Amino acid sequence: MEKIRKSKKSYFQSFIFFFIVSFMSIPVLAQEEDNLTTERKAPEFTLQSLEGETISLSDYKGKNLVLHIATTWCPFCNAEAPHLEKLYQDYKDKNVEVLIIDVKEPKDLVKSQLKEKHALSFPILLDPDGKVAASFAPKDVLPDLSRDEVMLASNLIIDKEGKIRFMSLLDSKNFDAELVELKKRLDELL
Amino acid sequence: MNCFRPLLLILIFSFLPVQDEFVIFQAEDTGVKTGNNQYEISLPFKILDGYYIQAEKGVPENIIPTQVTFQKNKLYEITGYEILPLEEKSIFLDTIEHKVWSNDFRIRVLIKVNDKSRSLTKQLTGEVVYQACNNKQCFYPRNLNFEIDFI
Repeated sequence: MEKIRKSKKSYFQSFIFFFIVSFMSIPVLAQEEDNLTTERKAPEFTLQSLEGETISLSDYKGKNLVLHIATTWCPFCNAEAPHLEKLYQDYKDKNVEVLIIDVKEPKDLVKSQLKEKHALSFPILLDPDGKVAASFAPKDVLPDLSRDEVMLASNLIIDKEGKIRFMSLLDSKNFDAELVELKKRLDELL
Repeated sequence: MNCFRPLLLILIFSFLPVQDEFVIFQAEDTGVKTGNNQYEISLPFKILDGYYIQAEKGVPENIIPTQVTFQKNKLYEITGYEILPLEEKSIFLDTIEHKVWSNDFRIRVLIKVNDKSRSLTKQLTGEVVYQACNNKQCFYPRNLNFEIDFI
């Protein structure tokens, strides 16, 4: 009986040890794996557009998709919005589509403060609980933030096969409102 | 065996994601000046290093300005208030200019009490709504509650 007790204690101690070691190793692993440039499969999603249309990522199979994650109050999203519209106009004949996923905001607000304010002609999807935005967040980046918060003002390119070929998280010191880097990567893909 | 359970719980909760606050109410530095039935209360707030919040005025339509609201109290009337930032600057995002605050700000509140409530302990409670950013991220708007007692 005493032996069983000791054995249980030993297992528990080992569990604690591995628990601590595994968390200590996270920063090292995060440095080694560059999540933002990994060509991982984009998570599938289905959301409603402002017009009430149901849109899924799979609808864009065979096309290159530029995806921007936004809120109406996000200063950087507002600065990028006119350039996203310009990008859409410049690239829509090159098999490129543009989408905005708006996070946790009501339809009427998004319609007036994003679509109409910036005269956006491409679809805007509503992500009412932020789950879709969160599904795109690299798990080791900014671990103390909620996952949908990590993704605000992010841009992604999802290729014809549904792989993420570009992802930029917000970097306000090197803010690229005109989407220069994204367009460069897009041109390489086309 | 028992000593491992609290340790395990501490470890688990240490690694769960948390929603950060970027402004702190420094209640211990609150200033109260009185004269007759008038009070001037100065509420100090600290914006964490490396972060800024949107200003109260001078922000574009879509941006959420810093705002304060107070709860009504039968013992007094708020006759005025102003938010006084220590450091305000303009930033440009593409062509859009807006004003932001960093470091500290104070909220100066003017209060008028009636004769009956003058000697009573009174409470000033309210809420600051702000939206913060740093060099890497913009964050969902936060609601920061504050509460002080004064006589």
